[in-house]
Amino acid sequence: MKNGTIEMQPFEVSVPEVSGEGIERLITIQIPMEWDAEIGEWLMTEEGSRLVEETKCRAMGLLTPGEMKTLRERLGFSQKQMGELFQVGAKSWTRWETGRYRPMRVIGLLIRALHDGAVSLDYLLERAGMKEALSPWMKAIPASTPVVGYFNFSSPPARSVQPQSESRSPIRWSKMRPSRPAMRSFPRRSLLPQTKEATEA
Amino acid sequence: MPLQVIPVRWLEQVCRIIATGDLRLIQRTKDFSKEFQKGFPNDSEGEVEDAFLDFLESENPVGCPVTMDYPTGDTWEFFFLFKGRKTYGKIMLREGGRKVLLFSAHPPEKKRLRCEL
Repeated sequence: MKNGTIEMQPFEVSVPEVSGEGIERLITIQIPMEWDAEIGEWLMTEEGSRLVEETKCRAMGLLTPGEMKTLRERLGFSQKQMGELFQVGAKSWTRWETGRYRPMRVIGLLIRALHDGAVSLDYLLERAGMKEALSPWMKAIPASTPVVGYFNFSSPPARSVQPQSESRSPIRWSKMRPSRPAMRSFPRRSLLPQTKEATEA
Repeated sequence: MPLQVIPVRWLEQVCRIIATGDLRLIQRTKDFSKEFQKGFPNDSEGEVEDAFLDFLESENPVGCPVTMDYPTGDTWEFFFLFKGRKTYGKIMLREGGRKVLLFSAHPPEKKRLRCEL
């Protein structure tokens, strides 16, 4: 087969048990894969990985990364604000939207609850201490108004606050791991070439 | 042959690529994803890439060089920790150091690496 050929191939998606330890069931789906003639193996494609993640999220009762992004855009929040709303790290929501990371199941269920209107946006804003900081229109939302009830999901939100520019830009993977270098200060000092000054110092 | 310290140049190039998170540069085999999911069904591949980085950036990480039938890259295997569990990893640096290919990240099938005595 020619190198780089893309074909639909079967792939078994492992759905975890609620405990997270074992496998509850396997779901076989067809995903596009790329043939690597050099090593004689199929490689995962971005589209294939996305389909695997979506299948797993749906089977776990969680929103898919795409649905999380849609929810955020319809609320008119930035990724940072969504992180604050769910009281997680500033970059967590960003990572979840990429599909390369998945929220803990309990957080995922809370996100789903907001999406489904089982928990109100007003409640979450208040718990996160964000209500006062937001624009007046947000304060005007009646308490316990579910997201799906308040916003028309079939059309863009008619509000003064527009989604921030980051939501319109294509996702750049290189920016998805921004917190890592800061945490580990890569490249490690010991990996850097030793200059004469540094050696003498 | 004992475990070997993984060469700094290889570490440097692999870490730099993985840190980008760019899937055009970080390739994964079908078996990588399949076995990772089997071993860690509740976890995501982004997390294991972070764990790779944590291990590869530690002081003098050790592993075994892997000679394959398709020697167009440098491949190393090693044990590392993922979510507190000992995990087998295998990574190839290919295309002149421009891409990495993730072969494995799953619970060990053998107690020792191939170069361990």
